[in-house]
Amino acid sequence: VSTAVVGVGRAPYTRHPCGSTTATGLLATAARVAVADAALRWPEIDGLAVASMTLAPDHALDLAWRLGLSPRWISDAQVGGASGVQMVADAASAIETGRARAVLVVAGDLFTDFAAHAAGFNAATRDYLAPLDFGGTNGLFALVTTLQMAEHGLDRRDYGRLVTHQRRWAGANPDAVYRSPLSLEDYLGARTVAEPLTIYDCPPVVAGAEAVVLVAGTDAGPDAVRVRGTATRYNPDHQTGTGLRTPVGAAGAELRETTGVPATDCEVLSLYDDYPAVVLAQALELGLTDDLPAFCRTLGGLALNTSGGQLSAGQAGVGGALLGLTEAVTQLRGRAGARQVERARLALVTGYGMVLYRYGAAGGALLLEAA
Amino acid sequence: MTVMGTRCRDCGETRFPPPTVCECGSQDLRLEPVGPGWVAARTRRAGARWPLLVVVETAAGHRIVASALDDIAAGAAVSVECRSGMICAVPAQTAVVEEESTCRS
Repeated sequence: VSTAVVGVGRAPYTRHPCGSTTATGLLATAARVAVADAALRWPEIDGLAVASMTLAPDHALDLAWRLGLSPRWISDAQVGGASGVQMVADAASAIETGRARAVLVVAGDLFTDFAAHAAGFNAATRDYLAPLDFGGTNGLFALVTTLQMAEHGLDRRDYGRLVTHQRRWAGANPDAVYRSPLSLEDYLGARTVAEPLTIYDCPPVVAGAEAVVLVAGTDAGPDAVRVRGTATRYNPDHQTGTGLRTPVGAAGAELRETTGVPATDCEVLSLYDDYPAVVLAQALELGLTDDLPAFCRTLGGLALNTSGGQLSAGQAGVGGALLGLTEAVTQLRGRAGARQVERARLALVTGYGMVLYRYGAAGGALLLEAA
Repeated sequence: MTVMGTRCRDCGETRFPPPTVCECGSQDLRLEPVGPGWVAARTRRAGARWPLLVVVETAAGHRIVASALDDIAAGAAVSVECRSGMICAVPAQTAVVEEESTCRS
């Protein structure tokens, strides 16, 4: 039984949510849009997967109750930016084994105190990093970026080329929070957050949510997008590496082996982009290049993070784990408007996250194909 | 106070932060000092209380995130000390034994 995405939805991103906004409300908004897009009736949803860091103290079952759903299958995903791929993989399994027929996958967040959230992210962060005034993940990925620059001969202009490339795509995405043109000079002159990272290297925190609906391929209409394969990896190196090898590398290799499709065959690439260094690490691991400086200089019209990615569209907490997926589905359905990629047939979507100590420990990849 | 990591008596791997079980499955883990080492990467954060955040790599294979109170260059030799609950990279020649500490190690 193959699985297909038949609906996508979003709670619009905002940098400054009004006081009455709640995480549950954002998830509900994205869910309603996705179910309507799928042309399903609300009671037909019998599976629910949720990822949110700010839904607490509620969980998936609480959300099912709040949403008026009575699912046969539910799942809480707790792997940060890799939650999107994990939820789709789990939902596909649930559908293929008959445990659910129509699964709503939803992710999003509303942070009221992001600094406190970052300082208490897990026990290792609380015990070993928070006392250092470490600057959250910005400080940690500044260190990863420094190592990557040294290992691959990259300079700030290279990262700037990637960031401005994504901003150009964002200019055609009315849902992106940052759409105005960004020049390389703007990038190089921007305020430093943690050397060598500037404000443009760090994803802007927004309130928002993303959702998709999956059904069996046999239940899907002509507008569906087929899930060709998924792969995930967790804690591959016990945080002993440099951070320049991500879990996406092994997941991507497995996906290529099981589907027979290399990343270079995909017309649309949604590579998880919490930081530019993470995008470049994945580009290397997925075989898109073996020369990162050259890759940055020749991005051209490459359909990479065509929503603008989290760096321009915004990072709605764990909602970022679904941003690449909803964008890829939109592209493969030919609904991307001014940013539509011509003849988009295959899309590769990755996820990465859960910084246990120095870098992300969870990753995944999935391949989508237009109907 | 010296910051402690672990070495597995069965496979010899070293880890920081200290795990409960080694990846080889052994729980025969011995605490050991994680320094000295060298600065593998550093960053200066805007508005931070301490000038530098660094990754210290030790000969035993530990990689530790630490604050640096002095302007330590990449590649510099350092000791890793726990001072007032904070893991610090200290220039090797000026490393001192610190007073009571609250570092979890």
